[in-house]
Amino acid sequence: MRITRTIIPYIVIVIILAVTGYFSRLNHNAFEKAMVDQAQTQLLITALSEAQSIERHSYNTEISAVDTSGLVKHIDDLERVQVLIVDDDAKIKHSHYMNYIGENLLTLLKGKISNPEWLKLNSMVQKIKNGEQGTAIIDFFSDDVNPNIVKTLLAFAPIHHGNTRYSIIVAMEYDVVAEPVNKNARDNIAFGGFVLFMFFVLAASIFRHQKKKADELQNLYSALENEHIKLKTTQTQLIQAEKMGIVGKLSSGVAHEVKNPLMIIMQGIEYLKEKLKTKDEDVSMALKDIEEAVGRADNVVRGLLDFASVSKLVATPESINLILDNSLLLMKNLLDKNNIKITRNFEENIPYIIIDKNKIQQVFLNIILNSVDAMPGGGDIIIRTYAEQPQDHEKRVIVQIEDTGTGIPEGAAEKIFEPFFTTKHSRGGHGLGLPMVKNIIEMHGGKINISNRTGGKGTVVIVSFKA
Amino acid sequence: MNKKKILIVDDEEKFTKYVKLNLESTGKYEVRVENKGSHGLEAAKAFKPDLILLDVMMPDMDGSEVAAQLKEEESCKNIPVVFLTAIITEQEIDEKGSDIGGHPFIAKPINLKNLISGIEQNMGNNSK
Repeated sequence: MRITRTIIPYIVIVIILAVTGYFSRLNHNAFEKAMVDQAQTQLLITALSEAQSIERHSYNTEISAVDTSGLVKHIDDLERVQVLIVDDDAKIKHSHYMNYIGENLLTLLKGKISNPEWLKLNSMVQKIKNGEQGTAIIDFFSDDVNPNIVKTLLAFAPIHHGNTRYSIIVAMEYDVVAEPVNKNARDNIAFGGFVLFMFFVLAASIFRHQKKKADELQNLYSALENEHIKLKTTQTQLIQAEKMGIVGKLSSGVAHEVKNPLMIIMQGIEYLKEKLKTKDEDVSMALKDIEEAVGRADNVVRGLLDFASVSKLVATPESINLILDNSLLLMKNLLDKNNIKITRNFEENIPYIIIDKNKIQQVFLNIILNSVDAMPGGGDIIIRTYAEQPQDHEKRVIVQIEDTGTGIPEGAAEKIFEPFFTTKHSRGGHGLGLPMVKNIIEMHGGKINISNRTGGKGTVVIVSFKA
Repeated sequence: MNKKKILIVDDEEKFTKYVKLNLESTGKYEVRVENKGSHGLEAAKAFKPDLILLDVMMPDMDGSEVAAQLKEEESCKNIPVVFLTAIITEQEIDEKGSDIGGHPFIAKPINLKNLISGIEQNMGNNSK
């Protein structure tokens, strides 16, 4: 997603440059054509003015003789310019540069061109014969010993002298005409190209700048959002820690105040057992019952102390798989004794997570112990670990513990995390196991969900931690 | 057979009374009780016990302070100290520091059998 977002501006820039290049080329061609057209028009105007001048002085007059005319002089000043006047049969009546008078234009020029240019020449001569006005660019061979191809621009237009129609043809090397034009065009194109290039460089720069700004803003926003989440989590944890700190102090006080009397009772029973060595079974039973009751009360206080000791975590990077294996090892005898089969589906190379390993082990021991209690006749415990990263969410490490036990009794689901709620009174449950589990997990910023298995007996516990 | 001398420093008078009775009824121990933490050091110096059972939370002086005083006193520094506590949490260990952390604990409530076992385990074992 992020990569795509990064690439898009570059793709856009490449497309823009490609399109620019294409249009630049089109522009170049159109520009060149416009410039050449303009040159031809100017040449033609010059030719027409020349014709008018000639007309004024009669076509038989040598152009060199009309040097008093500015226009004629202008033509004379132009190097490599040929001015021809032909009649309506394209026969040369006047030539400015060399004496071609009396020659047929087509015949004269045919010997100076290559075959591919023939059609163009023929078309031009035809137009001249028809009295049309126009231009042509034709490649001629130069008159040198080693002839070169000379690209020549020809402009032609009809002129009238009395009732006779003639045509004036002005020929000039294309480069002489086009060069300044092309140079201008090139300069303009270069300048235009430069401006265009600069524009796109600027546009790309602005785009990049804007994109960078947007990215920076987005990053800033994400960072702020993350910080906000962290802050909220920390705040929750602090509140939780503070709450647990209060609970801790409270339970320490309670434990001290309860355990000392329990100690007195216990030591009192020990004393009575020694002193009342009687055969009365009821007395023995009463003492045994008191002793057991002390044990139960002590169990609750211990649970309370465990529950309250969550306020402080010693968190280090740990492998959840290893902690689960350790927990299973600790419970091996109990699991074997209760005929419980363990299935481990652990993801290899699961990311390490920052946790208090003793506390998390306590969590798994509690969860597994609950499963064992729910399967008095034996059963299966399936433990799965995996890492997942839902879209737009942080990576998490998940532990799923399933059993084939009795499941959560109806109506108990909402209360299982409430302190002192227990379905195991008869088995010494004090209802502080799962609240403690939940506290420990929440202190780690994790989550726990317990539900009955769908499509089968038993419970599924899902614990997830930030990876 | 020489009876082992046990000093119990605990503010719970009834508890110390029964512990004293129960331990002495075994015939193996001579027990002296001190219910004030602040008198713990003087009692130890006078009684010269083989082991001291020391309560952690006492109103006038904490068990950890008594342990520190014992450590400073040449005649008492080698007497093994076993803490008796109603609360064993990591937090408590952190708060009480290494004085308490370095000594063994016996959690209340405890039956006689386990108490004797704890005493025997630590007898002659000078942990500090």
